[in-house]
Amino acid sequence: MFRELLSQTDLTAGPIIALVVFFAAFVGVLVWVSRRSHGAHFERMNRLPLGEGEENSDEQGHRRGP
Amino acid sequence: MKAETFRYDDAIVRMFAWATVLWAIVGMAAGILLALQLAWWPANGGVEWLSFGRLRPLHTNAVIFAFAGNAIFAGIYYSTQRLLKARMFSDALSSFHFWGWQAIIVAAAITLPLGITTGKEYAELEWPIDIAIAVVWVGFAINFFGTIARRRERHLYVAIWFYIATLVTVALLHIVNSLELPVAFLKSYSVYAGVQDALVQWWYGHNAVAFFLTTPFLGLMYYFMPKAAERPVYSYRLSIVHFWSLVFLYIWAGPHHLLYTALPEWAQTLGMVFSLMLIAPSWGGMINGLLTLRGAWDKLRTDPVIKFMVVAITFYGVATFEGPMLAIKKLNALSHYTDWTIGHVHGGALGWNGFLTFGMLYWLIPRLYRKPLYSIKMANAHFWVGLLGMVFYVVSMWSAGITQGLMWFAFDESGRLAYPNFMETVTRLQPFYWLRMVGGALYLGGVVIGAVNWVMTARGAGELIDTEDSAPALASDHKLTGSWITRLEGRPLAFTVGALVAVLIGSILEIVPVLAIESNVPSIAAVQPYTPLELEGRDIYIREGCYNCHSQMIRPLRAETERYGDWSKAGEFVYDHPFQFGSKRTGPDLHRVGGKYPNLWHYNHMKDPRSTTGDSIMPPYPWLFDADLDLSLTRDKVDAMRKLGAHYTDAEVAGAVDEAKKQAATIDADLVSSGVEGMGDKEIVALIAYLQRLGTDTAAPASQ
Repeated sequence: MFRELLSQTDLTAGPIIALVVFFAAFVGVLVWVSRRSHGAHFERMNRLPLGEGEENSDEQGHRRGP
Repeated sequence: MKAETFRYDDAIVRMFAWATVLWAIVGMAAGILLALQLAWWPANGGVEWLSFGRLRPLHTNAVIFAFAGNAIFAGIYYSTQRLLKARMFSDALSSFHFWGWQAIIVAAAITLPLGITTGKEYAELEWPIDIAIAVVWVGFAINFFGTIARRRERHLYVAIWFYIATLVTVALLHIVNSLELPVAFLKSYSVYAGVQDALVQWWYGHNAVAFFLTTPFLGLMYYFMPKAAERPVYSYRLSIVHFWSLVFLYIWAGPHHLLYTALPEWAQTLGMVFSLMLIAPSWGGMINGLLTLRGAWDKLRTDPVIKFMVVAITFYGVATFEGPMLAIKKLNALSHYTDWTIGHVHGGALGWNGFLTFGMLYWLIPRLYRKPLYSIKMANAHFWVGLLGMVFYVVSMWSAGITQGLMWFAFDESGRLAYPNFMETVTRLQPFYWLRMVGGALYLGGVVIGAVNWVMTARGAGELIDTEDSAPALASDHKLTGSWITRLEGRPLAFTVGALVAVLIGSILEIVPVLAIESNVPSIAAVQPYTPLELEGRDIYIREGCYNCHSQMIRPLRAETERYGDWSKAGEFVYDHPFQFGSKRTGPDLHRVGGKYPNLWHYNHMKDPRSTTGDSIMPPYPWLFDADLDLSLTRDKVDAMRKLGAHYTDAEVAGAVDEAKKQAATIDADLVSSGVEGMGDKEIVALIAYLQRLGTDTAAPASQ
């Protein structure tokens, strides 16, 4: 039945929907990362592998966020 | 808050690191033997389990899952503990993961040369091993997410994101692609058939490249590159964009392995478009990695770690540019089935995966043994020998691929194929095959120099105590603040679900329509299920790994239909569990070989390929003439095919063995009349039956 139902649906519109979803997500991420207020948080995250990010817990950066 | 003191598990990292080195040597040595066999066919020594078709899956499995796999695990276990400020969740699970994975590799190294294979590229292992892989992977996942749960660092660094995407997606790919119906302990059939099997397989195959050879290595790059350069990553913002675009886009790209095949056109176009879009995030990642060295480029002259990593990231950039170009349909028409693809993947594997791993090992091993590197000079030698080897390898394969592609497509003034004899296009490649072998040998030589260097570094290290660190525990009542991604980074579960959704969207929207919509695979009334003997012959074809050198997919291009006959249609493969399209034509396509030659020709060709085809580089298959045809599973096989949708009657299933014997007798009688005696109960008759059936169901006049 599932198969029958599917074969009557036009699933080829899916890729277009997915492209729109992807594009929206992409623009969303772009907008989000380019906000200035996250600078300090990113700075701390960026230094994490160097072992320099651990001081003072994790609040320093994004407390200044919205 | 009070700091807690704890120790990282360094021993497990050392174990994975040494396994990496060991399997690198084994897997690459197998590769060199294969390269030699293509340049000089007697190189398998007449030993059946060293023949090309059986050894090539061993090579690919060993370098991907054993060499690169262990390298990933070494890097993940080292970096995850430090990024999360916690020891691995369970030492027992770490140990289970390590030994389980090695056991799987050993099982692969035993079964593949014996011809025990599912016949699906990069997923050849049979169902009990598939289950073992799933179990070990789940153990790894519990250990990894358990560590995340016990972390002392609230936010997940971008490397951890890449590891999470790897864990989730590889599990999904492996399970969906490995769905198979067991017939016996070490024999199963893919539940998908033909075009559908091909789509699932290349969705898996391409995403094995994406989520086994790319995302985990990018995670390693984002951790070890800053470590080696002693500077933070160039742009953390870019790394976030890099991550989300990559996981969203990669999952769609699989169909670029099936351009101009019988796959529905819309799916091919999707694969091509998404592959082209992939250039952007890939190059974003490359730029981010390389620019991490800003202001420290002088290290490139002195530090072997940096040398290896910079070349690795450069090769990543080259391969991720070349890949999308090869995914353009017009260019793919030329490159597909040729050595160009082999050159492309080795650029990625040797350059990106190999060199990043070596860079990581040169950084890790002195730290894991708390001793300076034994010899910088040897490390430099490894670097230069390896780089030279790669140049030989990649350039020779590019040349071979383009040469052969152009020859296949060349027409003379009268509009006929300029090189109608396939052999002409093979003999032309011999010098390139020798050069490629030299390249591979140089590269392995470099690895051996590295191995000696690492062993000498580790020797006499004395007692090793796990690294101690301290950090305050996370407050359980902690409220995450900030905007949504900042909060997402602190919520591993939500993050994992997000990554899963990103890969599921592409997977479902691409695969489900092909599986479910009938019009995507138009049926052809003349196409009938295989006879029991043909089915046995097909299993021998799969066992010998014929698909490693021969395709069964004629593309709708004039150069192909002139050479091989009518182009292949989706409806012709509906009983093919698994599909055997192949991806490389070291020899010619076989889809319309049925009825093209007499039985005796196949007999002679399999016994001594050069007796029928002058300069053939195919090895002989003497064991097919000695081994008795095993019909003990025939009934179960026919029954399994019926369960998968082939319309055999009860009587046909019950009488499968008799029917097989009857057909074998017919072929035997024909061989006897040509003067060949005593083949009636040998494996060769089944293989001949299968080859003679190929592509004959639609043997109507060619329609283009």
